[in-house]
Amino acid sequence: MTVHDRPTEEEIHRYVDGVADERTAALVERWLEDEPADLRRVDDYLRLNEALHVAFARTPDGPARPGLDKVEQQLARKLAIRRLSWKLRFGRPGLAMLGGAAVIAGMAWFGSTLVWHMPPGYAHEAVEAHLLFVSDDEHPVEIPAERRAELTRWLSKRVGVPVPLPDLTEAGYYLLGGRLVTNHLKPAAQLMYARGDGHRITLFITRADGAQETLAELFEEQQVRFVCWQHGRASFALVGSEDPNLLRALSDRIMASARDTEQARS
Amino acid sequence: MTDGQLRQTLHLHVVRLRRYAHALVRDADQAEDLVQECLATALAQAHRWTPGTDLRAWLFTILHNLHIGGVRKRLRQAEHVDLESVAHLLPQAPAQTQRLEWLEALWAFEQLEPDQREVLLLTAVEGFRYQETADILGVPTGTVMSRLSRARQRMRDLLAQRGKPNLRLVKS
Repeated sequence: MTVHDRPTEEEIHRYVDGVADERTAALVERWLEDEPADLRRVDDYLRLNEALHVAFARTPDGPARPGLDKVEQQLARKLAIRRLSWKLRFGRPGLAMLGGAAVIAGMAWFGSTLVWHMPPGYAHEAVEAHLLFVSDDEHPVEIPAERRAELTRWLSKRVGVPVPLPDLTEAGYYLLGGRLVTNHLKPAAQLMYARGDGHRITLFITRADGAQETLAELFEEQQVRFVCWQHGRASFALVGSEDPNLLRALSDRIMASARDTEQARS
Repeated sequence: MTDGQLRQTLHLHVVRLRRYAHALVRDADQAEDLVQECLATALAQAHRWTPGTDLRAWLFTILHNLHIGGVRKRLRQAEHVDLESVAHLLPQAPAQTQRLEWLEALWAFEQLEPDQREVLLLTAVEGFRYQETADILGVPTGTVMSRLSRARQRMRDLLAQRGKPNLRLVKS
């Protein structure tokens, strides 16, 4: 009899809700083969899901409040106007500098007012590099995190700015390693981080034309959210299909880590 | 998406909001109040919606915030609703063979903490992903996971306890 890895509680619930990836689903199924108690539990959970669907999955019988449809119509109109004005200001593909990709949103979150921008020129390269390597299971990085000293030395030398290796373990992401990528034919660095559930984010670092400090801004392109900022001569893009708050928190952490590195150096 | 499609999409979202509100609040009047309040708030806050982002998640977030903002107190008072009064709120009874199972499940669902009910409704019934559920409720994903886990375990325990007397009833 073979001994299988025990799936986590989260993996079991993902399986029940049909949102487990193939690897996890296979893991859970192998486990259940030898564990009748857990098999009964999963079976009960699946039945509960079905029963709740039956209980709730229809429109309430009673009539909606009189006037609700009117509010609904007003809301639809207002949202349509909102979308239209949005399109006029930001959404013309011809104006986008990102090869025709639809830019959905860019917003500075510092201060109380929202300021809308186009993403910087290197952002498209960062997203492309992200999409290219984030799904690579065999060689996601060129130099693994175990060789930290070599990784930071090599990338800093090639990119022409100090490349830090920020520690994001407190936020649940560990460094896989990094690789050399390009930013419009110039060298750039890509660091890759992964979470326990396999989710990956990348940090793109390239050399800017002039020294400058910019605020971090959130953008979305090709269904990938990313945050861009510049610090000194280095431009950064943190890329990952994550929720905005987490991306913002992670980028704050990276900025703080970059400052610490400088202080340590000076 | 054309304006007509947007109107249709919004209508579908409103149907789901009503379903969620009814499952959450039980009292039909309060549930409809909640939905109405939600749409009115959305109307007032429409300038804060980012086109291209998930409208449904945005509306559910508003509804959730209104719900915890005041209705929950009233909900606590009306915590123990007997099954018959719940059943009539529900849409036409499903096929008789399934009826017992979903009524039993509904009874167990009723015994859960409000936090646990919300998570079950958003994930298992409305089909939101765990991360989206966490965003709507304004809690970490880990909290969603632990509530979901506890909710299912508790429902299962409750139904297991209830299982025996029921069997006797059927036999007699």
